[in-house]
Amino acid sequence: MSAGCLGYPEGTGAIYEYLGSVIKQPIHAEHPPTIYWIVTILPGLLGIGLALLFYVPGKSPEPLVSKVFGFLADLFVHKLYLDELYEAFVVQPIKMLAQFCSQIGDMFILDGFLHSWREVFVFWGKAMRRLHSGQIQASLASFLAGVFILLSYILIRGGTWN
Amino acid sequence: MELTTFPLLSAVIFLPFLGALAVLLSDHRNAAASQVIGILFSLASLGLCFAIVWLFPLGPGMAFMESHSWIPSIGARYILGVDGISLVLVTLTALLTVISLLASWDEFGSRSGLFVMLMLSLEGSVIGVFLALDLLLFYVFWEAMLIPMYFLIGLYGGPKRVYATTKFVLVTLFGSLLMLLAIITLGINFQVQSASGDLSFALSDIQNYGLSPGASWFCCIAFLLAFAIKVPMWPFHTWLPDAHTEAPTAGSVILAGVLLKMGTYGMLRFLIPLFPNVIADIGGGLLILSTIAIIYGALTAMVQADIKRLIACSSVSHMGFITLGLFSLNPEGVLGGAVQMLNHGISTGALFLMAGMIHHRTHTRLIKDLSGMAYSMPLLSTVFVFFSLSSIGLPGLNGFVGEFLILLGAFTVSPIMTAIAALGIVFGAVYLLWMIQRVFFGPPKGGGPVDNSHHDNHLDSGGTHEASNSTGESKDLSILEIILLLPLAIGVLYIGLKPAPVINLVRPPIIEIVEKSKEKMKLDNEKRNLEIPPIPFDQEERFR
Repeated sequence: MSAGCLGYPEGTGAIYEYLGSVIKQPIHAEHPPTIYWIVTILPGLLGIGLALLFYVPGKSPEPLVSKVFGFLADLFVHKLYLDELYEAFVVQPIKMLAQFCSQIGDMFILDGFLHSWREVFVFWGKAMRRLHSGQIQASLASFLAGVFILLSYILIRGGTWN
Repeated sequence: MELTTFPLLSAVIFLPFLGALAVLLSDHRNAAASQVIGILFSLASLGLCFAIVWLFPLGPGMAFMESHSWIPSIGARYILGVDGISLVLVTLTALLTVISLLASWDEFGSRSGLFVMLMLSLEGSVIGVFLALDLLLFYVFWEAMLIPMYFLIGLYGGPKRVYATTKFVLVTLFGSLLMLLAIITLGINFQVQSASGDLSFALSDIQNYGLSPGASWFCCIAFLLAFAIKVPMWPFHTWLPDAHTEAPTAGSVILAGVLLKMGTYGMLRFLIPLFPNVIADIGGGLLILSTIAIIYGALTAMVQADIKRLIACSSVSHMGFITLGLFSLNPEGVLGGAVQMLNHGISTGALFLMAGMIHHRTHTRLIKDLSGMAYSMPLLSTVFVFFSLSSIGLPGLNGFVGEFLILLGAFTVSPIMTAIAALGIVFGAVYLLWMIQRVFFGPPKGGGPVDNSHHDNHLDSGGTHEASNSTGESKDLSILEIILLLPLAIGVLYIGLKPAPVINLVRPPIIEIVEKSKEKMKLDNEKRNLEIPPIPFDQEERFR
């Protein structure tokens, strides 16, 4: 408010005049309209006036302010609920996203994919072990299956490997 | 023999292996003797690194080259060389090994001998990866590194160590085997095209011959997969939090500090220069994957209950920044990526080291069991906050330099991706500062932490113990711990305040890599023009 009264930093007020010798390059600013001056000072004066009005020595002005201004007072007492809004709309969503990345993304999806490969190898290992039962028929069957697959491949490729 | 003609690079690689052999031949059941030998050899290796830094000629091209025939029948050669990028990473490896060995001084009792051998073998293998200029030699070191790491996690880790180490090795092996196929393809491509008809896996040879589009795509995807798993890029990252959480402190420091950089180093040294066409084609997709890694890693870090797991998830995010820089394919982005490799190694290495210090004192790493440590351990808390701020990327500290360059480079390619990625910095501040608030600035728990110097790590249940806080007195950082953290803190401040020396070291090879990528792109395009219609010219413009 003091700055407003003195006209700083418009370049034409008292502080500017005072700092004129320090500021080497003069600021060429036009004098602002009077309304700017009023708008910058009036809220400050109003605030001081209200504070004086509600001020009772030794007593908290809160009940009186609440009575007069109602929910508006509550809004300002709680700093426009900015902390709560920040918590609800910024902190919590980020925390939830972080939990999702850690618990679902890492542990369930990515590690799950990795572990599923282990299951695939174990499954195939067990399946293959059945062929190595020691019975000659099983070995012969796998041998014939291999020959069949190779011959099929060569025939499909038109009689060549490449 | 003069120092310049001495095979410095071979010495840096094999000195740690020699140290491991010395521990084996000595009484390796004697913990103190094993550790002294290990520290002496790792210090000697670090000393050699400093000698290389001292003698290193600034500029493009490889220095201290060594080239010998290795397995002539298959064209494998023993080729080593160092440039600014590899020099930085080799020195970081040697430094972190010394720090890790000192930090584990009395941690493993009679099992220290094997631990020291594994750590030294790991150091030698990793340095080999950074210095090898023959693809087959690179592959050998790349795979050799897995063996000590497997045992470090499997024998010295937490309760789920066997699951973690098996997952780590299997996932990494899957990518590596595809890379081996790609290396063979490249070798045969050289053999078919070269006048001599010999096999060769030397990077300099392979880079001079174009590849058909099909071979380019196969080899590029195979290399990319191997490196993406190691970095790790999203969605190949789930092995990392497990490995970090279960690894002993020293293992975590090396894992975060240098092992992850093997992936990004491979991208920079091999992937981009060998397959520039394919990388230019899929560059947009890689930028998207990098951005997802940044955001996804940060989000998962936010909800972790274990400090080490939180830092591990943050690594996924930070490594995403590095790949974002690399795949922006311009000097600023690639430079930022290279600088950030070093920065991440320092900051995250330090954070893991400090997580180990906290665990050593309190028997727990669970955030909910830790509170108010700043009251009982002000110095430890201050240093932890310092490294956290460096990890967040606070201006004046090292993280800022790399992230700024990365965002600068990425912005010219994709402003939208850059804007989303920048959100990762904000999230970084959220999860680290929130963790700091809960661990260091909450109400103090009980009577403070206990002196736990005889605690046997391998029997510990990791983050599952309740904080032991009923007896004992608070124990802030010891002199040894301060000495261990000091070089890392100096690194953070030095790079943060005066990044020019590091940038001057790394910039020339990056310019060279970008230029060579352009040349290779032309070679590949010539080959491609024989088979399919010409590609639009603006693709080459991706490499400015």
